[in-house]
Amino acid sequence: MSPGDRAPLAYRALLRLLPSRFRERHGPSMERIFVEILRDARGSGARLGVWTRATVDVVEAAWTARARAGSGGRNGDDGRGWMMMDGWMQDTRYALRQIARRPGFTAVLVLTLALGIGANTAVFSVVNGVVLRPLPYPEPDRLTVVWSQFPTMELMEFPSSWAEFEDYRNATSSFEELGIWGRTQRTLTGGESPERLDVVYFSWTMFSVLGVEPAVGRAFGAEEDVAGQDDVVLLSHGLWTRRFAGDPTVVGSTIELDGRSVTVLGVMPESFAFPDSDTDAWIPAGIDTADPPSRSSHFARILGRLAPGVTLEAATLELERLVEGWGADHTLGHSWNTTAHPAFLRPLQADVVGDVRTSLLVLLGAVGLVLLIACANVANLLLVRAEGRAREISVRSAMGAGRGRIVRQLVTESLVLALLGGAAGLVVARFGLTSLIALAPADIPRLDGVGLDGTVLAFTAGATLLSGLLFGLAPAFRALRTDLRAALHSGGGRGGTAGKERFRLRGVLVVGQTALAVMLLIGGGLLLRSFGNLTRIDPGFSADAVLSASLSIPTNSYPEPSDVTRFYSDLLSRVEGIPGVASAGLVRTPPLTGSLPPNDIEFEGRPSNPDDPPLNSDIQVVSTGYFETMGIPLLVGRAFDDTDDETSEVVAVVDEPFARRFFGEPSAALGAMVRQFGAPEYARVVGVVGSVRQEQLQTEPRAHLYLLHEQTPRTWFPVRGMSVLARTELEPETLVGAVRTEVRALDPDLPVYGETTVRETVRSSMAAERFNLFLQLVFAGVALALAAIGIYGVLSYQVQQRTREIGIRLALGAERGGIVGLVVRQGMGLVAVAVVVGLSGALLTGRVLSSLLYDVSARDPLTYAAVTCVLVGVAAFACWLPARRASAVDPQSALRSE
Amino acid sequence: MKALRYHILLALADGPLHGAEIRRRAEEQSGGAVTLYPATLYGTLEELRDAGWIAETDSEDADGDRARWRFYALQPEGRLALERETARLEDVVAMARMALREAHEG
Repeated sequence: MSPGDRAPLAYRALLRLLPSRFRERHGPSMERIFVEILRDARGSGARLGVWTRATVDVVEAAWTARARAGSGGRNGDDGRGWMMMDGWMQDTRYALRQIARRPGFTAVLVLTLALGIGANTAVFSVVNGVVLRPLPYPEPDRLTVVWSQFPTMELMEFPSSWAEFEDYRNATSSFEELGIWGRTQRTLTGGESPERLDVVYFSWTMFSVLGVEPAVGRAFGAEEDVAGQDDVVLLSHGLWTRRFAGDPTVVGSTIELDGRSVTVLGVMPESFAFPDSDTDAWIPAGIDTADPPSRSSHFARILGRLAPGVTLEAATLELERLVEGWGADHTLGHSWNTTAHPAFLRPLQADVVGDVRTSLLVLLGAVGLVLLIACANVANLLLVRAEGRAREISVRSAMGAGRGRIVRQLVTESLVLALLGGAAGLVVARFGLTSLIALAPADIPRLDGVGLDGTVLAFTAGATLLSGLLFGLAPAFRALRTDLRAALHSGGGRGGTAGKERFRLRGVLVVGQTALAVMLLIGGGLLLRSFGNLTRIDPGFSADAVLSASLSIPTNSYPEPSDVTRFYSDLLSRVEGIPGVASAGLVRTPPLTGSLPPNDIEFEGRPSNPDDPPLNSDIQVVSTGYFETMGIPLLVGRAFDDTDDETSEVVAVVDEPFARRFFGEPSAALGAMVRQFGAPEYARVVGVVGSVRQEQLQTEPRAHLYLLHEQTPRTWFPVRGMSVLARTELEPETLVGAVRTEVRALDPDLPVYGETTVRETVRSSMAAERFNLFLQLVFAGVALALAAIGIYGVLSYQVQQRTREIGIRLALGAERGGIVGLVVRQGMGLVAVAVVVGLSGALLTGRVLSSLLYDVSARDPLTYAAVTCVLVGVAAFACWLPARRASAVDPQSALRSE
Repeated sequence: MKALRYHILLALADGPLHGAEIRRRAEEQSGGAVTLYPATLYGTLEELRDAGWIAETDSEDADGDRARWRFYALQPEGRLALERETARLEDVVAMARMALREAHEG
């Protein structure tokens, strides 16, 4: 299809805007005229112009026609409102015509604005969806999380024990209801392949805390939330449709979870995603109230709904008083040094959003600055344009248009431009948001609910209007100060004083935008330094080619701990036998995948002393071969080896922080007898290994007590879920299939999940920082480019205005080098002011970045110096281009040109 | 009077024309300053017809085709309005000359 055929079709579509009677009468003639105009336009630029003007033409006509129809129906109105409207409409029509007259100029402005507004809209929709959007529960601001704190162990957000929950629920009045929950996993069998499910256990009260009901069936009640009676499950909407094809008859039937038959009580609503959208099913907590878990067993996460009218502060006070009472009671079952621990309350929303809040708000601030810089550029372009229009404006004003009227006209033009930019910005935002979500790290909560909703559109409208006013102010201000007579006389205004004033206004804009660019560059530079520090952290292991896969052994087919032990040692020798595997090991929680449980510990023959450091260590469970596979160095003694098994002497390995904390130096720990508080047997410390960063790269290594997997029934509790690690000679990814085959050969009903490589784990542990850094650098780069364009623009204009003066200087014998110096000095003077303003701004606001920085101060002098150099370099180049043009001025023609 | 109306009336002063011809004539007589795009053109034509200044005439090549051109002819009221506006514009030009001369001297 040739463009000539397509044009009328698109134009015909455009004509649909017109009232139907008008379209029927004139449509065919209008199309023929349009084709004629289009045929006369030569080149794609001219054709774009025709299309723009034709669009404005039709939109305008449609608007007038409808307004006329509207005003006809408003008899009895005194008409004043319509006269006002009429004035605005006239302004708008005039503005549209002005804009259509210069399609290229308009396109540059609209594109600049579209990128600025679009980027802001995209970032804001993430902030809105993740941080601001209320949680999807009734009265969500009453939902409050209760954490336990152990300040001596630096555990500030820790779960609580069942007994503490009972105390909170029975002995306080601040809460309408409280519930506990926690994450676990179950294997769903009975289909074509077993599936590992993310399951959350709920106390029965959680449904009334959250204020939700199943969409199909019913929730479980107190009678089912009891050990032995708890063979029930609620399915997520996702699991129900994925696994059971949305069949309603599944409610009331039984399914197999970990080999146990459980009754499906119901299906939760599609919108329900507590604690997150990965959750497949909810089961009762099933606490055995006859033999409740110990008070020191901190496993339960508590969520409460505040009673109506109770504030977070009041509830905190009440809980503090309650907790103080615990300290006095020695029969509570805690080991002596952790008895009193504060309770910490936080709104659920803040708890869910977490650390992401700061980095997202900083991003929004950065992209907002980019928009400000873009507005400054647009204002500068409009000012240049206003020079060309000075005569038009003077004529209008001489013909009797008041200044207010002219300013209104200019502001209307800016707003129309802004609206075009905003509309195009929405398109930019739609694509920007898609790539933003694709780039975002997986651990940003609530990302699946991010979209362009009403709130976002309102934000875009606000940003659009604000931009329009901001960049519209400069030309309007300028118009107010125009000396009409001078402009009429001199044909465009090349008068000395007026020119200076104009330069001053544009100079202020350039200084402002360059200063903002300096601030953004410093932000980006600091994050870059911080990221560099992160990548240089030694995690304590070196495992470039290590494959990791997770398993959990169900109780029904492997009832005895010895069955589990046998399974894992069989699997380990099979994995070691895979060609290409150098060594293999097991670990309960691979490094950088999550924190380890801190446990109270005790040493044989060492009575606890009030001055001792808290007797507490994180416990990790591993097999023989683990340290070798992960490349964790052995400092003294020996690692676990084949002489250690479930019946031999109980042994332990500790790490350097553990040994230093409790024994002063690594070798002194050898031979010590240690156990988890209250465990059946002490373990002999046989070796000390290097420290490992477990939770995140940024968190300092904590003390680790390593127990051997086969011996955990005697030292801790029989551990059933482990990850298999295999150090490979080839790319680790290529052996995923082989590991799976070995597991299937041992037990075809056992799902393998979470296959990854340790390298990938390290990489994704920095995903949030990488994402943040990438966006900040993009924004800083855009800001730098816009500022350079601004500097270049104002100096070029200045050189053009001073061509005659430069010509005279050259004619009088000035050196060309001196002319370059003159222009560059003028530009760099502006830059110097901007750098000072920008650096001060960064010093004042840099603190918001502090929590995002690792091992670098928000006032890092190196970053400040580097940014100054980069900016001065780029700015000098932007100054040099127009300076070179100035020095190339031919004095003869410059003097003749006036 | 709006410039557009004036140029359309002026274009029809020599006799009836259809839309495309009116557009071309208006562009010529204004030295390219007035470009009439279709919707504005026909919108203004309808306004002028409603005011009784111009009328639609049956064209010679009418053959019942919906896509035929409609021809427009200047009415006596329209000619009167055109003459009045021309006289007013002459006054404006005279005043503008005077104002500019004063500005030069002042």
